[in-house]
Amino acid sequence: MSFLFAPIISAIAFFVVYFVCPPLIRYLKNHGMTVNDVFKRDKNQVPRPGGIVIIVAIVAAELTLFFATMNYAILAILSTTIIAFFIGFVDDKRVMPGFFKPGMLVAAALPIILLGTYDFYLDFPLFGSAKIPLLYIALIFIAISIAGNTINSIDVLNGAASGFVAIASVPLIITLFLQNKIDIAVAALPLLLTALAFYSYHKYPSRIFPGDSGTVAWGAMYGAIAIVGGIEVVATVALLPAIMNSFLYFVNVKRVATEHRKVKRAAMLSDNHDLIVASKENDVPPTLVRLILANGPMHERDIAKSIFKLAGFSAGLAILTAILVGISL
Amino acid sequence: MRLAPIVGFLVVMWALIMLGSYILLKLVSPIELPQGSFASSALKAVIAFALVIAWIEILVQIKNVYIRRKLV
Repeated sequence: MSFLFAPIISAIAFFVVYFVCPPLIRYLKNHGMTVNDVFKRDKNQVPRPGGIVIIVAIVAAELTLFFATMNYAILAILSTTIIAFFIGFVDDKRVMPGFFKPGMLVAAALPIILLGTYDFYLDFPLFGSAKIPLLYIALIFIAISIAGNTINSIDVLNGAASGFVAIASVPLIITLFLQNKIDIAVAALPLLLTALAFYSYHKYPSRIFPGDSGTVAWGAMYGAIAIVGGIEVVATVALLPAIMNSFLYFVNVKRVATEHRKVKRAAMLSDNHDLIVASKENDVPPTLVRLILANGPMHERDIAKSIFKLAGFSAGLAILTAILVGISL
Repeated sequence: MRLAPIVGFLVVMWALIMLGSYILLKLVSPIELPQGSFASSALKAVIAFALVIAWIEILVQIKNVYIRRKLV
């Protein structure tokens, strides 16, 4: 039944972002809500947060689907996304301590638990499922927090976060359709389509930034879909480049509570200001961007393309993982 | 070509997930201690935690080799 709503939900998600973004950009500019674009020669000001239009589109699409299906799993995904948006929005308005987002995002997992829209099983490729009743509750809290922060941490270049979310959401949707979880698959479409529509304004040179409100909302929604849809391992594999980025960052910084804007930059504009170079300093986190730049300077647009290639590769691995989940040795 | 080492890193991460799931589901899960189910569960949790630590340590070592070669 909800399959019939897929085109409507998709259209709402895509066109709300696509048509509301230009007036939002004008509004944010007129009200001085802009930030520096750090990898530009003239450090031009870019409006932020675009998360406002992202959440409006997601709410419109998911509420339509919820009233059409009355499936509480959709309500859980939506509630988690809204809470995450507000947590990110607070961080957009003022720089909060490093523990704020990871800590507060734990609360965003509550709707999933309170509405009981999960099971206790983790489905692994080839080797079957594991039932982990108590551990799974803890896993839900951790997963939402990690997913939100992980997507947030990849928002370092023009278009990187929106493009990455769009690519990483594809294996989720394919897997949910393959597993015949149609309601959740349709509920995941707004993740893909808001990211796609937003990308057209966020790509190099950015006309708007999603802000923490946008990236944290996308990340929490991604985590919520993975849990409610029971495709945690597949979702983790699709997210590997972003997980790798966070992993490399935290292994080096060694403190979750360090606000990322206070850590030395892993990359900087080259002397001629057209290319970005990796920092050679020892105490700078070896982030994904820094590793991509290890072989020499690159243009910002090309670094984002490299991230998309890695996301595409991981999406392929995730689809392979989904196929292997269906095979039991 | 420039992305090959990072793709390799991703493949290692994926392979470690597969290996970890095999160890947990096929080797650790059937463990039943004579001391009862609580002791069995505690042992399984400790092994799972040790696997996570091993996963992180392997990736840190790979990262260190790559960083030393390319960036520092």
